[in-house]
Amino acid sequence: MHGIQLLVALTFLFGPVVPPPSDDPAAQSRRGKELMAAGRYAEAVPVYRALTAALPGNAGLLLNLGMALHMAGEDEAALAPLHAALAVQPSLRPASLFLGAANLRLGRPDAAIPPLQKAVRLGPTDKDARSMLAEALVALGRYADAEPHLRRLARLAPADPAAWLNLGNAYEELAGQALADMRERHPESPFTLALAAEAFAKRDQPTAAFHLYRKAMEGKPVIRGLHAAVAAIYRGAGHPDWAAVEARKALLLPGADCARERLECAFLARDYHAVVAAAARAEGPEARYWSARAYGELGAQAFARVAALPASAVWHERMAEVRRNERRYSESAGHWKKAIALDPEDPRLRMELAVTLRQNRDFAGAQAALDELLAAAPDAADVNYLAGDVLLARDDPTRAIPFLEKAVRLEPDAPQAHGALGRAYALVGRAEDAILHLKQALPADVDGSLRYQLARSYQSAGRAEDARLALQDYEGFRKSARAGAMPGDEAAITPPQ
Amino acid sequence: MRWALLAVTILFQDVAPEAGIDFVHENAATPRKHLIETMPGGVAAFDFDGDGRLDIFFTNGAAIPSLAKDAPKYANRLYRNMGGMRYTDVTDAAGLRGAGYSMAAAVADYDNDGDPDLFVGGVHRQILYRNDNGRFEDVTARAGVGSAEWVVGAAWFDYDNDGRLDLLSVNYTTWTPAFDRFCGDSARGIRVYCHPRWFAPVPLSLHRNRGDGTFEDVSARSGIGRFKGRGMGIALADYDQDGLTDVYVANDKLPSFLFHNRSGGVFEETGLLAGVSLPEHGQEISAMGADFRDYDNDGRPDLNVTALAGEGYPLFRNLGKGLFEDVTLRARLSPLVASRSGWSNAFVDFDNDGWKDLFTANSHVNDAIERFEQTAYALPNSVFRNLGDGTFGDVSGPAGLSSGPPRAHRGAAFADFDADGRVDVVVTSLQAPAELWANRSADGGHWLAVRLIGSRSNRDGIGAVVTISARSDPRWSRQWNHMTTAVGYASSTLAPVHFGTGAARVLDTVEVRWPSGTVQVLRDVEADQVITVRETPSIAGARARTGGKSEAAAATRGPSAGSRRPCSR
Repeated sequence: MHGIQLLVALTFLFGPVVPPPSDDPAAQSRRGKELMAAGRYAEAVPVYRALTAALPGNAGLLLNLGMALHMAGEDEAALAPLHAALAVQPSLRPASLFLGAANLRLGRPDAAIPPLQKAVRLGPTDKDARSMLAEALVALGRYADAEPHLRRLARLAPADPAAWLNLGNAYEELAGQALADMRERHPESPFTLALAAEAFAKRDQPTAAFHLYRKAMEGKPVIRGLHAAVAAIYRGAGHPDWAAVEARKALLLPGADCARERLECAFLARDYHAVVAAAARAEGPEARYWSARAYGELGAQAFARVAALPASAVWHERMAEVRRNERRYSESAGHWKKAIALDPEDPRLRMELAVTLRQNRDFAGAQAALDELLAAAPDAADVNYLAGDVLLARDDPTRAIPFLEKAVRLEPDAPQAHGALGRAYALVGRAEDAILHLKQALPADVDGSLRYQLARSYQSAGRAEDARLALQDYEGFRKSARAGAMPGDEAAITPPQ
Repeated sequence: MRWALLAVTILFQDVAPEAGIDFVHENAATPRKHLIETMPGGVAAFDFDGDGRLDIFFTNGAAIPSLAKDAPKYANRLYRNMGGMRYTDVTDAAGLRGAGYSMAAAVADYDNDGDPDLFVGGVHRQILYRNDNGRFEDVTARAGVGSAEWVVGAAWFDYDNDGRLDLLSVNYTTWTPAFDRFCGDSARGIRVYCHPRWFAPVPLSLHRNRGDGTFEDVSARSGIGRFKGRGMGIALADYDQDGLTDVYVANDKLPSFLFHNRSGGVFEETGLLAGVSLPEHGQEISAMGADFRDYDNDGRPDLNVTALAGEGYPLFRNLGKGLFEDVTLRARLSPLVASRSGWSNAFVDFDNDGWKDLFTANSHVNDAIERFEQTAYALPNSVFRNLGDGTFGDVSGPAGLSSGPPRAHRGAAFADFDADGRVDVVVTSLQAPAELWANRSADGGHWLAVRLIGSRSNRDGIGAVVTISARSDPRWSRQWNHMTTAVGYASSTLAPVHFGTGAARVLDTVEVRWPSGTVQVLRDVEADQVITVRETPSIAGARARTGGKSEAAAATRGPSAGSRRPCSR
């Protein structure tokens, strides 16, 4: 919010001068300016309330009151004076900006968008307004609308890694939306299958990708690029000979006819924005296919820009998430640590580090990270839960219990916390306490283990009939879970046809 | 107090090189990561030539994809015990070079002729060897126990108490070399052995001994064939003390099985109800090895299962009435094993103090695990000393098990190879030399080994429960053990039943409860010897009491009082 603070300062240096009908309002006005300039926003609020009461309908004073309230954290109260200011002076850009900011902070992105759009129109080079507008649009999943703003922000601040990261994320989302749309509207189209295959390949599921590529090629053999993708899969699976066969097939395909296949030609020419624009005007799965692929490439380009910049916390954060999704936990933890070194004030990064260390089975490391978090935020439910979970993983249920009890107190509707607490109670022999919490944890039971624990706790408590019924429930649950998942259904990667 | 209890009393020394054991397991590892490569390693300990000394048989791999032992390095190997911890390779003379990709070994005298026979299970090929005076003959076809299954374990036991040993084979899954799914991280080019979920569960196989050298497949009739799993370790015990041997099968990433032996040759699967299918947290684990033995001297056999790092080695205490409780944490085992992965395991009283300790042969299953998480692949073995109060302490380091390099350990057999009254351990490792851990624990505890010769019961006495009692050791008054050759992952040991007796130089009673129902009681038996107990041909159920020292000495001792014969657990 540095930009907004600067705006506040400038507003009060060069802002509208209140014509004093008497010394009193002028003195108050000066006082208000001094307080705002000094960052004492809460103290400025009553000053501006008095002024707006004395001089109703004054757009400047209403703006000042709205700003003071927003900066003091009273966003709900800020709305009325800001709306009133705009009613008097619709072109008052700061009012639009602060109205948007207040709504955003209140978690109302839909209400934030109109005033922020206006603020951007009135001040196209204002990064803050555009950034907030993009944030509001992204919050509503309107990535297509956010994209031009994010692109502009990246151009305005090419050295800002967050700008490129946000742009890259938006492109990834747009690619994902395109695929989801194709799955819904054209589920059997070879283009949909090809796109789904690419998604599996990126998630390191080559066997699934292979079969989808095969199916796509059966439906439409001339989709260029698929043979190369299959060749890459063959190479990764240790079959260079098969890869060579597939590569030869790719060479035998005719080149794109740019008179008819404009989207593909634009894609091959790497004019991805043109592909997206043209695809938006076209119908059918092929257009969606090229649009999705173009978004994917644009995303890759944006992330490459971030990688080319000096190391930043946001970049390491992204890499940490990517590596974690790839189950490369050690590397992920390394990136979280680097992100923390660059942005030590963000507790969110430490929490992510703790989670990753836990996944890496580095329980001592996770515990150390959590100790720091607990010192700073002893009443954070998620931190207490993870602290208890790690202690449970270290076979120390006695020490885990206080953390888990606190987590449950802070967030009574968190089934995972109830599950962990139930297990801890069971381990220390408190069967009846365990039962209470395990029952509340059942909505989070993904593999039947909580049902099993409940059955064992009933057994320990001497409730044999309840144990029998809980065990039946467990067996039924497992049977359903296994029903659709037959091992070996997905065949191996087979030779070229 | 706990530190005092953990003072070094157990000590091992790897003497394989000087003993002449030069076996290296060749698993034919390939870049394709065929699952069978990470699963073999069975070993057996038994006296194949009747000279009173325990010999060692190693199973070995084969070329992939042919699954043929097309080079000498793939031969199974038999080492004859020459005495004084010296061994010599007699594989060819014995006729045990083998064929195919061998995995498991199971030893027992199935034809009750006094010569221990050998079943070798493997990938799509099983071999039953009949031992005739130290020379082995492949009688698989005649016996009718061949199959195209992938067998990772096997056990001999008399499931119907007819005096003849039957054969239970543990099948893992269906697999062929054509299975070529890529598992791992293709971005980094790391291929790993595929997760078990990609392999279909299959049933076990039970073959009933007809007594004429042939077997009949009773898998379906017995009820065992109804249940499909990914079987790994197998352990046998009469957990409910009804006179019928029950079966525990550890399943890989599926609930494990407890087959309760009901009369009439029928089994019911009762693992979940009994509480031994899953650890307390209810999640399926990669269960590997299993041992079924009374660790807390309360008369009921308990269960320990090995698994992978993070999954624990669950310890299930037998509560009686068909129920077990996961006491891994209470036994203080949980934190000790949290970062370990194990295969073979066994409850053995290594320091002869009257309490069975726990040995585990350790390694992860995925040789690239270190590239994914903070877990080690190759590991040293572990020994956890039973403190006699329901808890265990880790004495692996002081016991000398970390003296060598960490390895990919798999099979293990437990026997007194040097006949000094202390149980030793032989352990196999993938692509590494076998280890022969001579038990050098300080003298302090007395011992007794009970060799059984059945007459109405099977000759090996498999299934017999042996109970000893003494008043002269304050730390224990009664102990229970039973005769089984199914111990260790894919492994087997045929040797006398071993007890550590601590301070007790004389056992008040030694009771043998035979599978036939016969009960024999010996009194005032001196410790520090191997005694031979022959099943008396009495009326079933009658107690053959031999009261008094003189009767015990005359009727049941081995060739010479105080002689030291090889013993097992």
